[in-house]
Amino acid sequence: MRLPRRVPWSSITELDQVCSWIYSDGNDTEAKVQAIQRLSAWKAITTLPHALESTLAILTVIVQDTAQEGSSSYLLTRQAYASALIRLVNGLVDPLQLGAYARSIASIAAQLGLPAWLVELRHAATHEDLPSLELLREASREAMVWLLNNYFIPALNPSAPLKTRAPPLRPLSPLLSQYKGILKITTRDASLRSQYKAETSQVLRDIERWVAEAKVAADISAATLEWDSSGVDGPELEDTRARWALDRLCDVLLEKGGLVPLSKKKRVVSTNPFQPSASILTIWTPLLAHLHALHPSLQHVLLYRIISTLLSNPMAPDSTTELETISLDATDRLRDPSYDMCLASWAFWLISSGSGSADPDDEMAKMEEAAVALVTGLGPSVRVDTDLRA
Amino acid sequence: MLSAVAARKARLQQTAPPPEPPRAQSSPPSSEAEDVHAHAKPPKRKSSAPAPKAARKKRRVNRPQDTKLGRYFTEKDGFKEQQDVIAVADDDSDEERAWSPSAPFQDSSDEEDAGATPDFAVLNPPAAPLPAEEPPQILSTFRPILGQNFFHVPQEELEAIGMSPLSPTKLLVLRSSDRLALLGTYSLALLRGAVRLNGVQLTPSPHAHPVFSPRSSPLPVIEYAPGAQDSEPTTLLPSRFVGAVTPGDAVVLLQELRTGVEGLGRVCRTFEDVFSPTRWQKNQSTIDLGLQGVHYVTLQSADSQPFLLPRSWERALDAVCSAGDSTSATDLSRQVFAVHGAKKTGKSTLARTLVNRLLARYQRVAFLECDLGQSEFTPGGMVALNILDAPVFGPPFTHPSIPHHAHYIGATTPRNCPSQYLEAISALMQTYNIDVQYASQLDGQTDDGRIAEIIPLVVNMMGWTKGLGADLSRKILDIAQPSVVFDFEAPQPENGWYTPADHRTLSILSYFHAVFPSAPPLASESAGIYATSWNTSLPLCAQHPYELTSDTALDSVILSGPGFEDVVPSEVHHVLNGAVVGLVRCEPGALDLETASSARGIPYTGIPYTRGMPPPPPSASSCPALALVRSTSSAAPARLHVLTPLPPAHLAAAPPRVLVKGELELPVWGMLDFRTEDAVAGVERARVPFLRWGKTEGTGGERRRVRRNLMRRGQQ
Repeated sequence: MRLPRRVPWSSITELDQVCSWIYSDGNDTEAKVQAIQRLSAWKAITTLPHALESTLAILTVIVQDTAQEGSSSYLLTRQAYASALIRLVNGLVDPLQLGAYARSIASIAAQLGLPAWLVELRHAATHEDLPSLELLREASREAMVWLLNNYFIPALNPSAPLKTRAPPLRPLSPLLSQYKGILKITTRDASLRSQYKAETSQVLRDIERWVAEAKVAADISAATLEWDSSGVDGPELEDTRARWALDRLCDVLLEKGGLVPLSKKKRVVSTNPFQPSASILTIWTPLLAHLHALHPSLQHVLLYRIISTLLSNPMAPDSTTELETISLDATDRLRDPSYDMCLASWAFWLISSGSGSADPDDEMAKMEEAAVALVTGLGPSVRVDTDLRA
Repeated sequence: MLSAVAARKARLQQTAPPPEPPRAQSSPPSSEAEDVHAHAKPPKRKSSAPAPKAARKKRRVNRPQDTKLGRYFTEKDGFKEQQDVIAVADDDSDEERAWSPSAPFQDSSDEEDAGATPDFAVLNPPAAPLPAEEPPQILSTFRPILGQNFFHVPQEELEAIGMSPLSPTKLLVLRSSDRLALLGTYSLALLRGAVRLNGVQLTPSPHAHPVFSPRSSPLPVIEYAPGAQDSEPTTLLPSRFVGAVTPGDAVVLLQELRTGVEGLGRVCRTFEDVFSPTRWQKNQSTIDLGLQGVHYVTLQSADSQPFLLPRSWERALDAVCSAGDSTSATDLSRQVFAVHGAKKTGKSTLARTLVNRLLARYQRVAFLECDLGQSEFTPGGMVALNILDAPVFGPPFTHPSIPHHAHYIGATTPRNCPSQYLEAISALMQTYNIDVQYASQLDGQTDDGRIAEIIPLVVNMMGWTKGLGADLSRKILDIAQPSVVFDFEAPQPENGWYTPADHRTLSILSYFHAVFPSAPPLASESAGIYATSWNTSLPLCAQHPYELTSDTALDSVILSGPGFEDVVPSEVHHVLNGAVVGLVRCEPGALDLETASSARGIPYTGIPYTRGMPPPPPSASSCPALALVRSTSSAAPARLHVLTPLPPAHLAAAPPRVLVKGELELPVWGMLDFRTEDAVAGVERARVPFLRWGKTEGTGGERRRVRRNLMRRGQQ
């Protein structure tokens, strides 16, 4: 049973009223004071959503600032503005720091659609000279508009689509082809390996970062995050996000030119053991091993993606087109047996040696799982090559 | 990247000093005990204290080098435990947890670590992982055989020995090395011999001890204990059993105990069925004692850990509790025991065990609660002084009380109100020193062989031992002037799935559903009042409230919390609606009501609220109970509907006229209606005020979450 959240308003119309007090007339200070008083009372009832807390903080400074033109200390006003803005940005960005390592605030803010200069202002106000009053006033105005568009309007009209959509996930394919290019060079000539070492690790790191960004994007597109998650559903949530991100990664990996080479000649698989040809393996195993170390479920996800791709009707539109990745043309995805064969060999490789696990029990378990997935997917219409189990 | 962390970790492990080897163990307890043992040196003790300060100083100097080891875990726990912090990273798999929380940054204020081991010690792995693969331990060795060591006791015989004849009762004969772990609730009376329960040795008495044993906390195990005086009169034992009992046997009466406490599982479904065995446990055990609500537990499992008293604790408790044996009963030296340690070290357990042990020697024992988050006898948010005359067996939610004296802080940590917190503790210590310590001499207590002349005190300190918390702890020790300080060095391994927040939730709900005996206030004043049953037939939203007319029933409404000064009088009824408040009695003149009323706003709704008024001084006030303001009317004069477990007689005798609202909130579970799934008090989900089901819309629609263990790239 999922618990509801405690909210300070008895019905959403109360929130609507506060919103109209704040935004309907920019010069109506009295209405703004009313909003401040109501929000302060709400804050004493229960912890407010971060956006409301920031609204209260910024609005208080704005009202104070307009009331006291010619005030005795402008430093006070600047400090108040600065602290409200710093807290706004931090509070929005922090929940999306999901990995072990900090991501740059700018990249998270970009995904949230937060103006980049607010992030710069945050940095300046925290570590550098306190910004000028003019800049701070402008930033507060901008922040209030952002809050209206990104918090109040979606919260008050739950069915309305987001006005400012988060930018789509940047494409992964260029990164992958860059990786492939480097690896091709270094596998052909081992002496170049040290020369390309930095580039290799850079591209691995870029792919890693892409997965992290995908996790955040998952958060926005899925929008299932509960504010009141008292840690109980934290793990599940994290799992769903990671799963989503890995699914996207696998989609791109399974495109032609990814794990399966573009050239049909190169798709020839080695039969004993049944696995992709050595040249393909040497290119892709470093990446898979690297990502597997960070995301232990990658192997599992990839295997299931492969199986479902094999089972899907090759003529049907691919499921990835509805997602936010910028996918290749559908015509490009028309398949032929060599593609299927190559994918099947990858699946077999994943089961038998993918993780390098020496445990035969583990391998058996994975085989069984895969077989179950296959059988369930095939159902009565057995069509696909069964030599996978050979 | 990750393997680099692992490699570095491995290298550091080689250079780091190996953990202190476990001491020799005579009995093979689970590694749980071993873990504590390896790193906890026996707590410092000093039976009589002319100079408690010296004792404390010594304790600090003597900290061993492995302090950091304890800190690593404590810190992680601290992150998890704080209310406003969501442990985002805790769900990472073990491999990914190779990095440590950013420990090096947070210890600068921890003065105890000055000059301690270098920072890499924090990377030491846990000394003893939980025994996941070990075969489950056998908890119960007692096998009931009807007519040999297990008897039904008919009503007449119960009456003859002075026990309640109303509940079904069994008589058990425990022989050497017999152990018995039971799940559920029962009354236990010892008629002959000796048994140990939760590390406390019981002596024969017709008084039954209520025992609460849910799965959510360690199971009490009834253990045969040798060495009771055989000269003990056997008059308690009905004559027909005398033949079945050989000298040295322990004879125990088990009686059904129906308190309704199981109903709390309906209220807070996190704790659903904690008093019943899991399906696994049902399959393990076929033994039925024939008592309702009592379940025989054979094997240890992940969700039924037995109560274990580490040997270092045992030694320390023995030393403290037996020190007085040689001295005469007229030794009136100060007996104040402070239990001090970080979170998750077992403070509360040790404090409870200490109280129970002291009750074997003293007729009454006082208990000062300074832990606002997980209080023993009250819901959180209060510092309270309790007096006990019988041992307690069960987790805190099974013994809520109307304390002897208490002050409301209104938060689960003193972080935002350190001075008020210290003042409250200081006021309670004064109450103890003056009114309680030697009070027994005044009122005629029956002589039962225990010391009545002095009431010792156990002080349970808070688990916040860093930064400002360390400062506060030091000041509390200065105020309490303890004769003995127990200190912990290593955390207890976690048991069970319940977080401190879960327990806090349950303890508030247990409090509001508790039924207190409605004895007239004066007679029961001396020992405080403890809940005897729970009424969970109706959810809080359907119970009959008291109605208060604010302008006549109340002197003042005070909001005490960060930012609460900004609430204007015209908005205060919004704040009170649905709030958990402390009911506070003030001595005349404690509050400046004159200036307060003149400063009040013009649109007076009848709620006597003044902006920014500080809470009443603890020295001139007390908080007997908490209340839930279930509704307020906005029309003047405002009427409040209030729920409180405080018995009507207490309300009438000295009505609390001040309401203090702090940061403490009613858990969401308490706002739901457990009678139906999809409505509250007949209102369908979508229309229920103040609650919202479903996902959050809009960016920033969530509460702020804090990460304190984020690493920078290159920081490995």
